[in-house]
Amino acid sequence: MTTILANLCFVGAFLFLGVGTLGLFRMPDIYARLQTVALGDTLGVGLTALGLLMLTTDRVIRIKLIMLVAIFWIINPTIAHLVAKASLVHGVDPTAEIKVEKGEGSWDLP
Amino acid sequence: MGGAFWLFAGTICLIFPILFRAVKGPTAPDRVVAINAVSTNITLAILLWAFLQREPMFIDVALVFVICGFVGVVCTLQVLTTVNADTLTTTAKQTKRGQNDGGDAA
Repeated sequence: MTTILANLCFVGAFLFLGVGTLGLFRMPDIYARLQTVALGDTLGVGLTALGLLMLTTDRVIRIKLIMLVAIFWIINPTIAHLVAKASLVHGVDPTAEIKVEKGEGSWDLP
Repeated sequence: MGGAFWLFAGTICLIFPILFRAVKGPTAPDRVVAINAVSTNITLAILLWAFLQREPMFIDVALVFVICGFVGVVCTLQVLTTVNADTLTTTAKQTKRGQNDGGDAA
């Protein structure tokens, strides 16, 4: 039973990783590509670790897996925000298809 | 255990289209995103390899790999914020250090 559930988690993880990879090619813009990859990778790592948690019985390995998922779930959104801000400062404009509100001071990043 | 092996093979196979984006990507942040996705897939491959080979020490390798990838991406972005995308020159207005260096170089 747990093996079937773990395999279902692995199938879901591969699905989300594949959708994130597909978004790298289907999206028109660096910001949209960034969003798809960040979301897909975050859920893919979480589902993989959930499946491995079902397969193992050792307590130390479970603690290490939970630590890895916690660190990854902190790091990956941080990287997404940093890349978006750095590409704005770098000078990459969004495509014309995506409406961006050019408010007062919104483009004057440090 | 079969599912873990197929997910391992899938993560290895997903690296190649992401590398295609890293080569083709029109701007520098595209390449950064692609390399970050590659490091994520390699982390998952290390995790699944640890379970397939029954080597618990490889989980620590995956942990260290995640943190080293984060530090590498942050350093790359630190360089990117001081470079203008259109002219590919160091812009003087970004940081105080950029101001001093740009003034001396000009």
